[in-house]
Amino acid sequence: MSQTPLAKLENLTKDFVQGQTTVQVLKGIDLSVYHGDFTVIMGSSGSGKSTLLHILGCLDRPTTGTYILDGKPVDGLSDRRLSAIRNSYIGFVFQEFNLLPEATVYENIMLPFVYADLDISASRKRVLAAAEDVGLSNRLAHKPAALSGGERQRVAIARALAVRPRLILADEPTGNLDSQNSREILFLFEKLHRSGATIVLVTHDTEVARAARRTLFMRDGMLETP
Amino acid sequence: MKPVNAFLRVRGLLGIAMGSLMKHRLRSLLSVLGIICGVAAVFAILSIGEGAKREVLAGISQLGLDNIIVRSIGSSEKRKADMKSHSAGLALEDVALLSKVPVSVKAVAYLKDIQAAVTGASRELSPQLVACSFNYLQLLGFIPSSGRLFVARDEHRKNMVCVLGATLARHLGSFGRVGTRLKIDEQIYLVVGIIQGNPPQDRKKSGAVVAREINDILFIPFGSHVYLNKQGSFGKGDELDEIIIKFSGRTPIESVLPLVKRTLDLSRHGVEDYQLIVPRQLLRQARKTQRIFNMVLGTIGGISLVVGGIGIMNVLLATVSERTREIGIRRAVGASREDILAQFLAESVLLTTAGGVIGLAVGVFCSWLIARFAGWSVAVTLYGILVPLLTSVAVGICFGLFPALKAAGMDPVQALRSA
Repeated sequence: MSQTPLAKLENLTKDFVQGQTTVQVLKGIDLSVYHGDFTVIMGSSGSGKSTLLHILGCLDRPTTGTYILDGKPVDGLSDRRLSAIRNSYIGFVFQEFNLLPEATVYENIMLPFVYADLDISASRKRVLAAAEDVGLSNRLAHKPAALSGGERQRVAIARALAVRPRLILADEPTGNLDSQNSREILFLFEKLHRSGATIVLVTHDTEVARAARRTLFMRDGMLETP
Repeated sequence: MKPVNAFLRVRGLLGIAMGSLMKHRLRSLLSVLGIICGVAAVFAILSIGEGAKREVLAGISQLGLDNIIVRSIGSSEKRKADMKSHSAGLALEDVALLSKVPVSVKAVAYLKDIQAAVTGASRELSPQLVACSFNYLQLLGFIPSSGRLFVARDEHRKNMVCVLGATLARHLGSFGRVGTRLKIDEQIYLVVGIIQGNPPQDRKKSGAVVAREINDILFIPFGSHVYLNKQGSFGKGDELDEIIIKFSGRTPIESVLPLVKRTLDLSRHGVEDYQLIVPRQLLRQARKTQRIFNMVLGTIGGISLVVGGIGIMNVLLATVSERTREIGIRRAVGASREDILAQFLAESVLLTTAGGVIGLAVGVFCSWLIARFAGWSVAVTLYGILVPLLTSVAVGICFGLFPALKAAGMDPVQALRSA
């Protein structure tokens, strides 16, 4: 394990303002994620784990506290810089797959490259390699509607992988899948982990947590080490 | 960003925009219907306006922009009444006086309308007959398409010769050729030349223009008309119907106008039995009228484009809320606000530009229909194409901006959570 963490959160809070009331969702989070880690964050729904993941993925900003990604503070960066970070550092996998329904598998995996500074042929190679990794090389021309839930999630994983991110963030990736498909997806994450990927996975499924190397619990906006 | 990547990004953007528009073909088509109508209307208005303008200007130019035309007014009965008040109408004396006006007069020509019957091949024609000074046709810049024009001798000797307009010559058949003899009111005239007016198309509709339809006229030298029946019986002077004064190129016509007027008034004791026509003023007037016409109709066309733009905005706003999740997904994989803004703007501009192109096609078709069946002249200019096309692009930017800003301003986390 290397000395400097890939992602480091210090005393991080996040408030949501809803009309008159302010809800503090994250109440002082300290977390370090190192290169090659497979971290699972468990917690009941509403505990703030998704919000934490969004902040880790630069999709949301913390109210207070610092977030240092790859040695550099992320706070106060412009939307353009944060978008570039999401594009090249982060790969998201969501519970609802979040694929573009009208686009083919190939186009869906290609989506991040639309916003990347990489030429077409290099992008295409990476897309094909990612599809190969998740075992969907023969499904590239299909639309998501023609795929099973497990296959859809594998497309989403391929999309996250293709840009070769430093950090893969998964939000309940098996939440919408049956146990058979869940096992396949988990197996895929384990494979990624073995090949050196850094993964943070959020779930409330203890079965899933067992795959992880490190498990943290989240309760009422605080992280607890078991 | 490297230029290659910038190019790829623009191409990618258009690709995305194109793709999402093609997915909703019917909706896209319906939403641009307003733009199509607007552009077609603006194009048709501009090309009809341009056609009308050219027609009017050609008519005025034929009068000669360096000329002042003095035309007698009122019926002969009226003039006879005026004679009691010491005016004999326009006469050769006026021509002599006007030639001596101390400004750069190049030439003075004159003419008289004649009533007479012409006997051609088998049928009798009654074309417009004009007895003109020998220099009249040269002064208006006509070149004979065959034969010659009049020379000074024709007028001095009252030669029985004539020059035919091209259309009239055609009607006369074998008589309408140089060298043949025509019978005009029992007198024999030799055809010496044929002239072709330019442009040859019928210009009667532009009623404001006072140009004569040269192609239908039979010209004889002034003086030779006294041999014809009913002519020359007006007593002492031979009344003229028109005097044309040609000034040298750079003469400011407006400034010599009072001088011309005073010269004419001197000999007729203040009786205003003539009318001054200044083609250059007419031209300015016509241009001004045309500008107003274009502005009014252009505004109407513009309003229809704005209405079309509102339609586009409506559809785009609906699209944005429908595609909230897509926006969230794109943001999650690295699209910045600018990327989203650019995407929706590109869609809007693509939509309206496509509408503009279709509208132009419809406009061309409509103009063709109008030209074909209403007989109006229609002229297409680069301006007439660019204005509606650029306007449709501008409408795309203006009315796409608000929906695009709305899309770009969405919170990515909220967007991802939307159903």
